[in-house]
Amino acid sequence: MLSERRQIVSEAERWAIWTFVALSALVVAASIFAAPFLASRRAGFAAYLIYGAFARVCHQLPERSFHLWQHQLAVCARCTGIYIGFACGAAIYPLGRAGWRMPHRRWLILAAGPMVIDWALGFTGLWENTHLSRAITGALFGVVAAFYLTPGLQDFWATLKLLRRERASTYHQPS
Amino acid sequence: MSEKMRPALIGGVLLGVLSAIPIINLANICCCLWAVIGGLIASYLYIKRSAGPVSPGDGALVGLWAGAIGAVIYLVLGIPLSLLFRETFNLFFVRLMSNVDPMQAELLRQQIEAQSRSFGETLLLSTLFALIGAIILAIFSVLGGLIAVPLFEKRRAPAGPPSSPQ
Repeated sequence: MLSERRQIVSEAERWAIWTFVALSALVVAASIFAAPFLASRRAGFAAYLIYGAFARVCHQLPERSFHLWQHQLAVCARCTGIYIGFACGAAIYPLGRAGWRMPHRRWLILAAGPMVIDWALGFTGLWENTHLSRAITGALFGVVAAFYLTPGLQDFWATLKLLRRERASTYHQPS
Repeated sequence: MSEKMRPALIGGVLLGVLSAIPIINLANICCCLWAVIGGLIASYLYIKRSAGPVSPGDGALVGLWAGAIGAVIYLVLGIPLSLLFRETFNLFFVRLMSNVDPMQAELLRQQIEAQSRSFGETLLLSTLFALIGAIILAIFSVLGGLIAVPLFEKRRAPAGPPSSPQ
């Protein structure tokens, strides 16, 4: 039942999950900029770890990345846009939320559209996309994705609590 | 097998194997594509099998199971494969890059040579980054499982009885 799922997570827990999502997004976005900063300060190993971690999720091609302090950011321009957009979306989520509910799928598809078109036009050679076009279309998707992932993770918490409740009632059942 | 485990197993095996095989695992450089797809497929299969509407939290849970299974497969297969084929893969990548941008290929070749290490160092770093990679795979699989629900679940959950007036 929807009402049971919504009631099992308290308002305080919903705010706590939102805080966790927003702070995590901020840390990830900050580390994208921390990598070139540390590299420029000769903190080579710390920068290497950050670049190495982000290498799992991004091609990190220098010609497709922004540069700061004469070093490239930890991810490409598109990924930079996505992560910064997500951090911004997560931060402003309480202002735009509709009762902590997930929006209709059309907004996610619409938000992904420009990013997919930008990628497809560049991939096919029909149009030479730029750092700015990749970052902006990525940021648009990131902002909207935050409005799905934040209530989604709150519902995930509800699922875990229901699972724990089921297991506890199974354990305490008389044999 | 529970109704969540079979879809999770299918999604997990897919994401684990594809993330472990050299060259094919390059798709993960697009925001962990195999992990997102693995979680998405697991959640989609669960939605199709489920008698009632699936919530985003359930999709995320299936994604988590798929991610955990995939992460184990990735570690078991990926570390030995990456150590065995590291040189071959580096050579392939430099040759591929030289067709696109010879200057970039030369920079890449110099970077690879500058980073050459002893086997012990390579094993330690490969293991460390593989563990980080496994955690990232699991996280993106959860996100894939979660995002599949608004995309594919069209049924609405019953709202439940209204609260009685006091």
